[in-house]
Amino acid sequence: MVDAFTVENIAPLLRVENLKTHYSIKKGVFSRNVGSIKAVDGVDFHINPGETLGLVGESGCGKSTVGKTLVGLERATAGNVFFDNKDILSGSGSEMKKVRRDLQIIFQDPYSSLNPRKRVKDILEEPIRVHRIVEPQLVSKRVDELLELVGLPRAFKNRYPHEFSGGQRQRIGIARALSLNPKLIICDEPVSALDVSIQAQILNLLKDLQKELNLTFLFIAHGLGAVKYISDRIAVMYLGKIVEIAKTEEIFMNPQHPYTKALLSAYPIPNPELRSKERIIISGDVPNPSNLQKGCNFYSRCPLAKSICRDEEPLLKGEKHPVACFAVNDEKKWNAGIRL
Amino acid sequence: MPVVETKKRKELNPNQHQHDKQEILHNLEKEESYFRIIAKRFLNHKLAVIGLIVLFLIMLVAIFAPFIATKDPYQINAAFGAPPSAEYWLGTDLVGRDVFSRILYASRVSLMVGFGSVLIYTVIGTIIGAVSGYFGGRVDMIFMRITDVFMSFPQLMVILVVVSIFGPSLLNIIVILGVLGWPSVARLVRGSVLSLKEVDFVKSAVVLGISTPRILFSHILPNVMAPLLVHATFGIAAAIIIEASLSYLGMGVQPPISSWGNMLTDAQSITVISSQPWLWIPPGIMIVITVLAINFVGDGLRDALDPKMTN
Amino acid sequence: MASYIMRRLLIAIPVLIGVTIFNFIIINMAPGNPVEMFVNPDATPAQIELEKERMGLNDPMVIQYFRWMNSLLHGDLGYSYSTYEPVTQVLLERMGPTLLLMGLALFFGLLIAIPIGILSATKQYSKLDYATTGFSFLGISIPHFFLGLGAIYIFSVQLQLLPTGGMMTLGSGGGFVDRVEHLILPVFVLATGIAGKKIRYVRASMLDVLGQDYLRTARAKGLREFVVTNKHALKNALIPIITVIGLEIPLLIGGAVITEQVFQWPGMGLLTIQSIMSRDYPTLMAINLLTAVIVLVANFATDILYSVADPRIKNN
Ligand SMILES: Nc1ncnc2c1ncn2[C@@H]1O[C@H](COP(=O)(O)OP(=O)(O)OP(=O)(O)O)[C@@H](O)[C@H]1O
Ligand code: SF4
Ligand SMILES: [Mg+2]
Repeated sequence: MVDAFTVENIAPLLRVENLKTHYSIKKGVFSRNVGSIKAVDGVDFHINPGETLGLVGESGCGKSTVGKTLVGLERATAGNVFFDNKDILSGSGSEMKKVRRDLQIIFQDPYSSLNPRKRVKDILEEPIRVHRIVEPQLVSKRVDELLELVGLPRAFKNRYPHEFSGGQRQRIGIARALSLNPKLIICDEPVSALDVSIQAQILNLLKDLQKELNLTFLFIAHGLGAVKYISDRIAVMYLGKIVEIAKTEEIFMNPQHPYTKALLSAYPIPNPELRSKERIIISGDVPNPSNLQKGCNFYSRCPLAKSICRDEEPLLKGEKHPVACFAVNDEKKWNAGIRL
Repeated sequence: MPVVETKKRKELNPNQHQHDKQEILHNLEKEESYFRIIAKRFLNHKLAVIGLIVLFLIMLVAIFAPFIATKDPYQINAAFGAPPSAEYWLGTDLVGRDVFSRILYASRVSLMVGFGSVLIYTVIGTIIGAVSGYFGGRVDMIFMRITDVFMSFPQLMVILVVVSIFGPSLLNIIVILGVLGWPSVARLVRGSVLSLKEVDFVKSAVVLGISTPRILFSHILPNVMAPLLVHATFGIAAAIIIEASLSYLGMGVQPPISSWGNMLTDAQSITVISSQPWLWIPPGIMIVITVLAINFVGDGLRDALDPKMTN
Repeated sequence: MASYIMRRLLIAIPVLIGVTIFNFIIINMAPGNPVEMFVNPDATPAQIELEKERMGLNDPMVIQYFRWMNSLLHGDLGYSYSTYEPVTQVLLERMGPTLLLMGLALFFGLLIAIPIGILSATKQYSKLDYATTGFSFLGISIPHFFLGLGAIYIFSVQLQLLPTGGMMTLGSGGGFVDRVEHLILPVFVLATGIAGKKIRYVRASMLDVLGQDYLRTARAKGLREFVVTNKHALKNALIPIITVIGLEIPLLIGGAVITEQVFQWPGMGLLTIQSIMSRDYPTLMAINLLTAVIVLVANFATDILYSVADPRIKNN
């Protein structure tokens, strides 16, 4: 159990400050930029070594974009990312490439994530050889180790991806992510494409690997179900912004943001006390991320919204349990909002 | 590793849970390698198999022409335009050369032009298409406009003009067809690269720090091979027809070297058409057989390689 | 929609300019120059040089290109090296016969391909289907010149039914029947090529549509198979077929060159061959340019048609 006191004394492995990633929309005769999709729009969080941070939110809220930006697959529009105390967004050159190897990603779809024309052996050997992780004559042994780590028999290494089930493929994807001995792995919905019975196996595998290899995870998921089991803390994302971060049990027992509450209402909670408390069912559509109004992004769907929420943007505030909502953070403003 | 073994068996047991369709398919194919599946599908296509056998025979003829030929194809004999006989199986042409032997040797020209030019333009087109698709942006824009320019000219027209400038010869035909044929390949490869670079296994290679050339050549291009192979096969057939047409017009391979096309040049005279059919019907039939065989092979390859076509 | 058309037009302009540059470069690689063609044979080298200077042939290539473009935009394509007539005039004379030939070939090619392709798709794996496939492969595998010679051999030489070539019987004045008789064989040859290519396309497109869900629903609702095929499927299969006709133009032009040569049809194809034989580069350049423009326009029309038929394209 990591408490507030120790948190301050551990240097975070990853620190993300005001990260923005916008996709430009091109249109018309000259492919003009006619606007942008603010997929990630000012996100702050940190992850401590050995910790798992869950990142949840509805489809399209920008979770994958956060992950892709962190591993360099998308270019950040603004902000800083410190990994191992190095600024990995502004840095470049061969040293930066080396740092980036410590940051890997596991994708959601076990079918498109493995090259169908390569055998398992080739898939795992390539990064090891390219970066000379071990002596050439030890590469094959290293591949065996990796397979063993993810619970696959060595004999599988001469097979092609299509010879495996979804769960097995995901194991191969995990082995590949481990091949460069990374410190942090971004798991982008690694189990949501799998059968329910296999999901647990993969989650257990990830947990075991974390302990064994002292890994740190950013674990992305749609719903709270999968992250609850694996996360130490959970960040809730809505339309490009983080609206609440807290320890897992805090989020489940004491959710603050109306959106988090809504997510919990959608999730069958075993705790009857909480179940009866407040069930928030949100209605209305997710606003178009290319056409966001000022004010709170959740305004159009929020059952607690007041006029102030339309004009001002709530900031993520709080030490132990940051929340971005006027109703929670700013009693005075809130009351003023009611009066208006 | 007994634990792992049971885990594996559990996962593979199809009764235990509902795999999605793809997964079932993959399990069924478990024992077969990719190549064997393709081969099996190809062998189911009867016309393609026949085409492959015919093509193989024609290749043998081309290689062993000197041993099969009954006469020297360049030797001018006493009889001009003689009808078929025991001596000259398919008669002699207007200068007195043995038509049968010339047909055998001409297979070399057709195959050289077909394979040679397609090889050249496939390499050029693949490089241009891959660079264009992978890097995108301005490079892509410029390459694609150049491709549009090339594709605006009806192919035979440009080839005729260029041949008229550089002069007709076997080598020139191969090079000209090779240099002018790349745009369609470039488009094909670019399209595949564009979609492949968004696929997760390419992205994971990027994250693993694999270099761009390596990603292009080792991850992306092998996955473009299937449509490329089909395209190239049909391309060989098309190149053989173009060479024959050019040679027929006198703009291709020049006598005394024989090509099926230039053997038909004499048939531009109505007397030859009506009274010496042995001069032009056999080489014409050879073109049709060869091209047909290659087109069948192409069709079989397309059915075998296109996963949507599995019945 | 308007924005899409504008966008396509603006892309077409650099391509068109590229076409003229490419054409200019090719022709300038050609050996010989106009002076040698026009000046009288016993002119001294000094006189030739003077004439070259006067015609601007010693100017930098870029200047020559712009001068050429300028006259091109004024409809001046220069003079033919072989007949000394203005190229524009020569082209105009030859255009009619070629358009007639190509138009008829396209019409009859589709007239054969569409019904046969559809029939073949509705009776997939039947004897008819295999026969159709065989025919279409034969159609794309026979070179135009061989099919033409074969047609002449059978219909003109053996059966004595049709003329061997030309546009009309010389000296007869060319009545309607006579002209039609001269058209039959060349149109047959070109149309066979088109039909061979299109049958497979029609069949595939029809199979595609027949496999779609809404048709299964229509069938399940008890609509007779015939009605299904004809009304629902046909409409959806024909859209892609009609819209990609424009893409056949380059091949059609190539086929026309050979076919016109075989049948001595006095169109642009035959003119091409004649110009190549006589090294008449101004004419050749003009033909090349004209065909490229036709192809560009056809592609443009295809794109627009396709985007009208399939609204998904527009937004891209
Ligand atoms: N390459 C791109 N170009 C333009 N817009 C994009 C691109 N990728 C994602 N987007 C948009 O950015 C927003 C966030 O997408 P992202 O994939 O990050 O969402 P997500 O939270 O991972 O959703 P999901 O749960 O469906 O995976 C969406 O509105 C999406 O449409
Ligand atoms: S700030 Fe206002 S609109 Fe936004 S979540 Fe809080 S109460 Fe709802
Ligand atoms: Mg995602």
